[in-house]
Amino acid sequence: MILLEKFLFQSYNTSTKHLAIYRIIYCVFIIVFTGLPSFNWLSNYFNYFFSPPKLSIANLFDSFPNQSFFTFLSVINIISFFFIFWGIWTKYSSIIFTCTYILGSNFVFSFGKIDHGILLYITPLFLGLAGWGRYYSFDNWRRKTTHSEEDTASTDRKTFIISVLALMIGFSFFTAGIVKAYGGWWKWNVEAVRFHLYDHYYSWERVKYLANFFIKIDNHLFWKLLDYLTLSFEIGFLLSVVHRNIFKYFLSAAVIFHCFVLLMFNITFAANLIVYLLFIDWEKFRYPSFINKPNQSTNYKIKIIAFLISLSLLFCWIYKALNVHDTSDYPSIIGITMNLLSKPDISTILIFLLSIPTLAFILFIQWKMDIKTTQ
Amino acid sequence: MKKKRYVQLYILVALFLFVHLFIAKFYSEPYPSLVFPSFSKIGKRHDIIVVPFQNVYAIDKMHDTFFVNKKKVFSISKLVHVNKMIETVKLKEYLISKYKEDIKQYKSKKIIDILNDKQLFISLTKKNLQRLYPNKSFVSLLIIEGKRKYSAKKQEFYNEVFDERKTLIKLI
Repeated sequence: MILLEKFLFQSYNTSTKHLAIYRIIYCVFIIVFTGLPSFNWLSNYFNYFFSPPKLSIANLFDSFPNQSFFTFLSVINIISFFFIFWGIWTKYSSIIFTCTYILGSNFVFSFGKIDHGILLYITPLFLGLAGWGRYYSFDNWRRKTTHSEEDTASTDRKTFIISVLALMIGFSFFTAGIVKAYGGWWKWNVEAVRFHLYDHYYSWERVKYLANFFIKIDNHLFWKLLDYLTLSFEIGFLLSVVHRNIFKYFLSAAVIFHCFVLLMFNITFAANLIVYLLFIDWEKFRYPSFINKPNQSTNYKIKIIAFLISLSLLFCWIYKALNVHDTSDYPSIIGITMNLLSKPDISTILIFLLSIPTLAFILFIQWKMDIKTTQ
Repeated sequence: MKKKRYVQLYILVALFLFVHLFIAKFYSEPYPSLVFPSFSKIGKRHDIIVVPFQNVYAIDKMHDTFFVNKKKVFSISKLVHVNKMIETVKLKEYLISKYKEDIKQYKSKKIIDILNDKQLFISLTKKNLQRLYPNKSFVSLLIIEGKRKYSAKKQEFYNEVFDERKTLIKLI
């Protein structure tokens, strides 16, 4: 217990200023790469398929609520997201954002299949409580002008919240690993990864990227190595959460793991990457001067441009939520651009191209970044 | 709150997560869920691997059969959801056919609700088929499920289908 206390509180401490920077990066990631999920494509038309998880809010209903309920939910979800970005009532916006997502996705997963991208959407709930809206926000400006009291989490509470988020990431991987071990992945005469490659290739027609290359590999040692690496990585993840430094190495491995899963099985877990970014060594960076000197003119220009872009996107998404009922998401800037150019959506690949070198580099190497900006 | 209290709370959260895993694996996966997909199935080395499939066809008045895109017919963007939806449709079709044998149960509220839901499903499906094939008039949907084999040793895919099951849904 004493060791746990020492490890957790020493290693997961992150300053509120860094959490605020992370909040901006998190929102920009969603705006540029992933977009937000839509719920208003759901309606009574799908009642014949209604089969919610037994232990879920949706199971309290007999069928899907009507479309106006989902439109309302989508609009609240979108507005709360932009409030997080701008830092308006950030704590409450963060809670509302996560709650509306969970409520909406309860019904999205009422067809019988639960997706596992929840980490991206529960992060605001945790960090909202940890005080990620304290800086670079409208809340901060309001506090300064009205001289009102700060609503900040204590350092211990903040560290506790971040370490619980780490525990949840580690635990999620552990659940996959332990069930694999129980299923017999460790046996020498089985080739589990290879088996799933065939399954995805032929049953789900997931034949993109390197699936064709991997399916031709007929080497037992290679496939067994992948089986054992996956097992040890997923089970070991839970143990790594006790110290941030060990956890970071597992997060780096997770980036590579997601990359392999994308290339081999064509399954994307790209959204998780932004959650992993929270655990980098924020103190090791020297930030551009416009971040450290909030009154600089560059700072105002950046703020105005970011505000105008995000405001346009807010109107675009709200318009879509009110008028378009057959889309499962509100597209990111990359998604909109690709749509305008009539090109296929490359945001998933782009996320990996951007994130693998940067994230792996940040997590593996204690690199001091010194960005110099023109004054 | 003291650090010690936070550590106790942390351990409590960890215990809760384990209970959550236990429930997910031995009863039913709750939502929200932190349980990641396990892909726990295994195949032996050089085995014949069984690959299941699930196809949907639309049949027109002339009895011509058209292979249709499941996602487009059911207005769903993810294939994994469509396959689960088909499972639910099959179950409800079975319930309707079972209840048809007993007129008392066939008039129960539960079955009337299912039949109303089916009408909405049919109107949605017809609308989507009309959009995909404007010149055709479809009378039913046919779901064919089955399994095929793949030899990992020979790296050969066998086209013969076994364990074939068909579900016919009338659209009129």
